[in-house]
Amino acid sequence: MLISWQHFPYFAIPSVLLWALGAYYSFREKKTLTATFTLLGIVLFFAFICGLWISLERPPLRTMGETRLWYSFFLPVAGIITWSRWKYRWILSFSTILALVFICVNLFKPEIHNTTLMPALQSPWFAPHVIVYMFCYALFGAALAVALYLLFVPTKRDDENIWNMLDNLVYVGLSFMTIGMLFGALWAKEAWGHYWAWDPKETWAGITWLSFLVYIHYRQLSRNAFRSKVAIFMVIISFCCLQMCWWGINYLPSAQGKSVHTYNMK
Amino acid sequence: MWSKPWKFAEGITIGAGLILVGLMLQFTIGPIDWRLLAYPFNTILLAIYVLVLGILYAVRKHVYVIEWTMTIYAAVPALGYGVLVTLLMGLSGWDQMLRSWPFTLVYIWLMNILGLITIRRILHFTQGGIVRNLCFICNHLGLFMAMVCGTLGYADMQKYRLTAKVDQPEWRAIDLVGTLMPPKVVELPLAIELHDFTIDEYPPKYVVIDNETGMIVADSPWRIRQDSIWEYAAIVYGCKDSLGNQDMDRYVEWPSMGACTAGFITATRYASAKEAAEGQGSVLETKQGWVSCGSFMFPYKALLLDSLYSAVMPDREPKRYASDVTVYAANNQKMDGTIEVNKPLEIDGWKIYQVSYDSALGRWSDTSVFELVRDPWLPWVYAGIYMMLAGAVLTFITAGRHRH
Repeated sequence: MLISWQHFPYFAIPSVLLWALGAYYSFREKKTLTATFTLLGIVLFFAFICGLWISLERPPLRTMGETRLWYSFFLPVAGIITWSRWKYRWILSFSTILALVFICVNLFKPEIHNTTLMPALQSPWFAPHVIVYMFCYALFGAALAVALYLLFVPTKRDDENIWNMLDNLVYVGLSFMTIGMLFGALWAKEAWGHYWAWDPKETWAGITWLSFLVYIHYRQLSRNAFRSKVAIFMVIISFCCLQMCWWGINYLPSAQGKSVHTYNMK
Repeated sequence: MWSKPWKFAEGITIGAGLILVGLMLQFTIGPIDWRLLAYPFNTILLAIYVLVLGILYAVRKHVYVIEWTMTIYAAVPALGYGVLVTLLMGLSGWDQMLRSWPFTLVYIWLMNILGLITIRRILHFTQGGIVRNLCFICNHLGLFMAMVCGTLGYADMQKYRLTAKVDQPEWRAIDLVGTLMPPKVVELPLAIELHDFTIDEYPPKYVVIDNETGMIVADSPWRIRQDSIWEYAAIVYGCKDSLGNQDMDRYVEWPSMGACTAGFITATRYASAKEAAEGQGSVLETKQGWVSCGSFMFPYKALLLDSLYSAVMPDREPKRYASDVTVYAANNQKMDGTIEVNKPLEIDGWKIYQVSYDSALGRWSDTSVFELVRDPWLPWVYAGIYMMLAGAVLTFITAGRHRH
């Protein structure tokens, strides 16, 4: 039997339940149960992606609905990696809730036209470029949550652990973003003849990249002296630029009809 | 302000000063023409630039502004201005920003910082952790090389568009980088002979459209099934059936130039769109007939379902287009190959890309359009890109370790 979007709820809902169990046990500090439930959820969700991949006969990375699918997949993946490395108890709850939001969007507003893959997208670079970017989006999503937490709970701004967490998330997110962006450049050379053409999507990717660099360099200065709101706002602004790059330019008047990066718009 | 040590305020002021100077240059000498930097000027300029950075580094102890430039207090505002000018371009969509002085000066400032701190880190490589220093150099020098070589090399980049017809070697092309209007046709040092051009298409699709608007209706009560298909078909008007009655138009197999794709379909109407999507429920009505996306010889054909809806076959989507070619380059070099989207052919420093074809003829096109690109600075840009990739991996590995 071929897996299609009709089967999505049967995979997504159990996955979310498993992730929620994992998140619950991470608060209870039961490490084995946390890891088991979260990974089971990830495997189940990935099974749907693989099934869809097989039945579409192309990687499901083209429409917004399909990229949301990967985003909801990578949030728990980024969550479990962060959890296993730094043991933040809250991170899995956060990744589960955000994944749930994107799953709900796919359930209620699918935009899942069964479109075929045009020649420009048929490249070995396609999957790594988009998957690495989706993973970095997930990490920056987590970074945004930490930044908002620091913004609205000022008493926590003296907690060095939380700042370290924010730094770590941005560092890892930015390394993935750099890889995704450069894979894009190498692919663009093969597909369009030039590695960087200041296409609106590329311009906004550059803005986002520089913007997170501002935060990283600002935090280098002196980790003790700079716990101000400025650093928090740098993360929030950078995240806004990221949203512009991801989907905002589809609605930006000055970018209309200019980008060669629009594949799912009719 | 301006009392040592300098902090952010000085950086913000310097950035504002650069923008101001840039605006003045913009209004007096006008936009930058990067094409003026063609070889050998870009090579000389690069040598001078690296030399100047070296000298600046050597005298840093005597000139405070250089020492300050190598601090985070300079880097953060410089990056901030980088975001600002790029953001203005991103929001306005004004491409001419790339030729503007304020934009260029801000990026030169960033490159100066990158260059100076890279020199310092290379000279102090053994101090403070080899892996960290390696990571730092990959990130910073990689970006410096990619951006400086990419910008200076732009003037040496050649880009031409060549249109080839089957069996007619072609060496004349349109210069795409030159700003001359009308476009200049040049003779290239290589020629392309097109043997064959092919398009593979995805299987045809059938959609239901609204009779009034012609827009695709996703949730109609009709469900369409393909009964048979001719990939290469011709229409026959007003055929007679076996009893000699006047029949409807129909399609026959016709494997020749100009053939279109035609499918014979059965459309069934259900009580609701949901039932139609699932193909379950009681069938209310059935219609049969031919639909075709047409070709340059034959019109498209729709099947009228009811007063609201029709079934049509949209133009088939290309899956792959490819040109079989022989390319002749200087020194009697000759190469046979297939050029596809995402699979350029490389010969004698040129990359040849599949760009287009005669879309009016579609899959019967006997014409193929190529872009030929030669970028002598590419290896240096790629060296920078690969360094940045290595730097990103090292950043990922070391993130969070040096913090505790």
